[in-house]
Amino acid sequence: MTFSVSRVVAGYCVLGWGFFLIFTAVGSSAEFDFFERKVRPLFVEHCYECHSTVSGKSKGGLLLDSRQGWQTGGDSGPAIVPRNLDASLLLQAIRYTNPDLEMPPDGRLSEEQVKIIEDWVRAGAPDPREGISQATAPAIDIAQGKRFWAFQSPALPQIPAVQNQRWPKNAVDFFILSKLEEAGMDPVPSTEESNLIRRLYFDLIGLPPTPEQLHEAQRLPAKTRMTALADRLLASKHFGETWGRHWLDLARYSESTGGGRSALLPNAWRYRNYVIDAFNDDKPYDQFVREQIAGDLFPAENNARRAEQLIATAFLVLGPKNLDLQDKELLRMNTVDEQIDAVSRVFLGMTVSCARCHDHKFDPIPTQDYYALAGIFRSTRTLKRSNVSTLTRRDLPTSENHRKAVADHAQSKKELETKIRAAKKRAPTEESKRRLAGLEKALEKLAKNAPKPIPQTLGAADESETGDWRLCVRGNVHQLGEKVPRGFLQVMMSDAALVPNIPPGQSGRRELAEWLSRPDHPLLARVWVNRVWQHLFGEGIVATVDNFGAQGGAPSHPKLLDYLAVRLVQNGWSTKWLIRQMVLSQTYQMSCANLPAGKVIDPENRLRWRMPRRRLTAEALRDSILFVSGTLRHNRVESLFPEAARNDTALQKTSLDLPSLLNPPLRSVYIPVLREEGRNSLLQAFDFANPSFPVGKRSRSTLPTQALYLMNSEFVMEESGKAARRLLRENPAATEEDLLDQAWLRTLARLPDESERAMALDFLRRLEAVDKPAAWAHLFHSLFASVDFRFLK
Amino acid sequence: MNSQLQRLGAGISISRREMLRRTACGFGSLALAGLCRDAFGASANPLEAKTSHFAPRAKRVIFLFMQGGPSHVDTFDYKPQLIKNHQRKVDILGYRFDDFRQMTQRTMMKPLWDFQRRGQCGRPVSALFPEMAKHVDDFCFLHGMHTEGIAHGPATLFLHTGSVNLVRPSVGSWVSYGLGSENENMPAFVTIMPTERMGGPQNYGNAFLPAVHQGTAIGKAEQPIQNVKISHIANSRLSPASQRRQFDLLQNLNRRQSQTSPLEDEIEASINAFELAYRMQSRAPELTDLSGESAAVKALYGIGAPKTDSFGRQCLMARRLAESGVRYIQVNYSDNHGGNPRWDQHTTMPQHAQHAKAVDKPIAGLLQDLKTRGLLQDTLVWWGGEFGRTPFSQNNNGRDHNPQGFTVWLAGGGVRPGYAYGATDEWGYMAVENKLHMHDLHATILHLLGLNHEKLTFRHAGRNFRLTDVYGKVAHPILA
Repeated sequence: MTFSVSRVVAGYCVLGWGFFLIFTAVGSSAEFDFFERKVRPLFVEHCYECHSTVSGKSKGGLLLDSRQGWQTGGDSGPAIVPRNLDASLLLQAIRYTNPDLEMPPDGRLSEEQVKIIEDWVRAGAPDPREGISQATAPAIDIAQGKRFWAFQSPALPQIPAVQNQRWPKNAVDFFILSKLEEAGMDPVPSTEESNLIRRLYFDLIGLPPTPEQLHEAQRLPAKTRMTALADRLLASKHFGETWGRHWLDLARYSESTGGGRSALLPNAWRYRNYVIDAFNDDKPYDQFVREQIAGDLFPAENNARRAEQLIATAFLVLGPKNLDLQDKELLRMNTVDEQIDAVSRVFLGMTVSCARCHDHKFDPIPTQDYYALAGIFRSTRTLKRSNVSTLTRRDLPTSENHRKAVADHAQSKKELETKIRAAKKRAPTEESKRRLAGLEKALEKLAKNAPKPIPQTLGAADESETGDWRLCVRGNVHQLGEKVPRGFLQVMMSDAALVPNIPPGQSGRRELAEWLSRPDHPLLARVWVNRVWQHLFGEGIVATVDNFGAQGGAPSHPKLLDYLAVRLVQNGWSTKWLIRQMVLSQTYQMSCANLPAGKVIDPENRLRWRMPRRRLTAEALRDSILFVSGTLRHNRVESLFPEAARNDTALQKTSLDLPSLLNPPLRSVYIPVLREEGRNSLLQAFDFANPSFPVGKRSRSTLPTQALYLMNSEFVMEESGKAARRLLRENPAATEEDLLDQAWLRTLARLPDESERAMALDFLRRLEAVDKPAAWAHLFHSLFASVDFRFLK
Repeated sequence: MNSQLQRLGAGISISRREMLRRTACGFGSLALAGLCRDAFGASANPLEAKTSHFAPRAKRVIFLFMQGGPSHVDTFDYKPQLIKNHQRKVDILGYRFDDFRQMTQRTMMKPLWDFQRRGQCGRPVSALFPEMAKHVDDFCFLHGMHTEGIAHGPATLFLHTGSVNLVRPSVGSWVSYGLGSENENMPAFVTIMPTERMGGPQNYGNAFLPAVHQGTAIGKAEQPIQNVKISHIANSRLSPASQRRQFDLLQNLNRRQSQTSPLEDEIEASINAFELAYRMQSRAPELTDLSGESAAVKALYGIGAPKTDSFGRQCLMARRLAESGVRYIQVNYSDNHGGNPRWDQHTTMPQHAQHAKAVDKPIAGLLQDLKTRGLLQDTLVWWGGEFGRTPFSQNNNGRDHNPQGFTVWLAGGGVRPGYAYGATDEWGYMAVENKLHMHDLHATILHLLGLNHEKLTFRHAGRNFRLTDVYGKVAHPILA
């Protein structure tokens, strides 16, 4: 039975708590006998499902499996007042007289059954059940929790020995091979050279090699080919555009807020470009993390660094909001919750948000820990409270001259406006009219010559009032409990001395950032290594990349994970170093061959006996079509929103020409990401990350709507036509056979095999009536839609 | 036409079924396939028709979304006290940002239209809906509705996803996830001309559920009804013959490429997805093409008459989709050209008449048509907005949003006909009797479809999620 008058406080328990029921000796009076024969069976049959320790449920906080349970009662107070029928909530409920309190919820008891309970209560509710019902979980044992592998700092493991000494190319391979040998499995052979080159190009820069680049790569000395290619591609500016996009999935990057009255975020592009630069510059990962949480609170060497650090904190601001939510305290705490969720999932691979309403069910994260973090984020300003709230923006540093020019301009404007107001009050003489006209003209001129406004970014700041916050009872923001000192997640604190000492007037974000990025943090490096691994190998070492907790998957190669994590820290948290280790391994260079034996022993390829066939991301698919058609421009852009829309706080679609905005001839990373209608239709169809929550692993769907897109979209047909015209233009004298070779090289980085060649020639022959560019356009259209184009072998 | 549609749904051989299973399976990496198995027992096709938790009373839902918040006190919730106390000033507890939890004086405003008792059941209906009133004996009124969110955005999202602020799957996506599709050529969840605002696609989004459960939009708000179709369903450049040739080349290339890499489920799935898409191209457009419907049927829906043509066509499409096996069909009476929700009359309540006119005959026609075809008994029709409107006036002649008490009606599929459940207070401001929260309505709709709202869960971010979060209570008294 649920005694929840207020909806918000109902409890919901999925799994059972441990229970602590101690039954002591029971009297055998007639009263107890009545209870045992009549009342207890009713409770067991109709109430225990939701209100007992054994079922693990205590809806509305009420338990009916002990005397103490109904005496204490639930959220609405004691359930039974002995001898007082009207004051007993339980009786109100079973009588179905109060529509907000009708129990059992799936149908009322018979009159006879109700009478049994009434008689029992009238008799003083004699109840022999002496136990103590445990309505809440026993306190989480942090010390016990710390024993879990993910909460212990990684130590550098020894590189294991292997039998087949010729196979490993670097340390990664020893860890992989030793496990395969243990299982009695052989890794598959290396993939073909051209496949490998195409694989590396897409993985590092998200584009295919041109036929010339392919040729050039094939001529490099075999021994140093991969090293040379990897170094070249890691140095390409397209590296950041590709890997930055992986990060933007995690950062739930969007250029609108989403929610009811969605607002455009015209400054969000600065964060996007910051992320791209961070990857291109190989910004140490620990620093990258610190900047996104508290860049505004760390000192900066110069204005450029200061700007970067301010922009980085947009990470905290970018989450989805419903800015017109009228309960502003709820909006504030939902924002805090979204920040806790993003920070814990993205950086730590932990789901902390569960602890908003109750202690975490699976991981050793008590509600106190949640509110310790909530205090930090509640002391951080990312929202301005208003009927339709707005997100905080911060001025970026600029030159002294610029600042002065803006200040002077504002001053002059103010002065002129004052004068105009005064002039308007004067009697309208010829003289005063002339004077007014002159002033107004001057104001106009001033507006025309206004200096550029001070550049701004979305960014966080500490609140003017900072401090610890109170626990919200069952997550209800209006029902406040005890105050919780700000702090971090206890289970990940190697040492009690790490409890932060937050100076007065500060949020504690700086301390949080420092704690997260400690070299001995148990999760930060591991989670990052695992994410990078997933992008290159299809599945993470821990398959649940966003969940390293008890409900997450166990690592397939725990030692490899720790090895790479420790070495990453030793190598200055260099992501490029990490990627290099991975792509230069033999493990990366294996083929996708699918051996029947392997499929039997390890069908999921957890041991990495082969390279999985991976699909191109939506961005790589779109970009490579534009690349082959010759349409793609390689420039980097700022905001693509028209000037008018940039100053528009509410998203007014009328001012946005969406089709041209959403399909520019640019790398897909620069296309505005909106949370509502208005996303690029290709990206949308091919599993682009939902920008409303951190996405560590995109879904991989195969849907008829995707096939429809490839068959019928204007985009694919248009670009196929351009690819065909380009091919014919660039090879005016080529034979049909040569053209086929070129078409295959451009799209698939290989030559057609005999069977493909025959099919294509036959197709072209049947299309004789069609003009040549159109026929070749059809051919490109088929190639773009084909599986070899969309997958990496 | 009817038999033709049934053929679309039923004329599918076992091999096609098998192929679909593979297609859908390919959408799972192994991890996902595992999830499918967890959620659906042995089956791995997420859209395969599934067994409900218990015997369903309805097989499908048609939701007539009246966006903006039609006034309950001017339509179905008759309040004599409000009429008597016209222009009286009353203290009201505020709910808006600027008067949140403060007492403010408001002026009561009587309904602008007269009420009359209608049908055998004698439930009152105002003069706004003369056509719908003829079906009042089929309606089950829920007068004690209340919900979350006083602004359109939050309340619209709450109506669709059970959350004002967090990104959650839409009701239709949950239904698709729980029951799959009865027509393997069509998705299980279709929404006709949805708004792009107030959360836009989030309102028919799958959020963290597998992508296959996303609502498929047919057209969008403000679009001329003639152009309404599924995206990329037709090729604008190629003749059917040359498309066939090109399609054959593509599939030959794919098969060749799959030969060189055997045992790849994903490639096979991809090939199968193309086969299905090719067939969908020729079949799905029939569902939105109304040209084969008789003049009498069109007239029934008000098609051809300028004021009712657009919504009439939407309703007729809904019937065709329902017949073809789509589980959850949402028909949107959404934005006007200025981008405001249509029923949102803050200043000029008389404009309600124009919107009532646009939907009244089409909805009555839909009900009549469903009944004639024997579809109403297992189709749940849901009429309502994201909230109601206040009994007191705003800007003299308008009414403000009211999430604290309003009316929706259900009809068909397993609900008590000619019945009214719940009530608002004497003014029509707060729900007071047999209150039904939006979570409760969600729970009840799932219940009617044979789904237990507490058991229909999906594991995401480390925990189980459900449509009703930790709330929701089935309204048993309204079940037939």
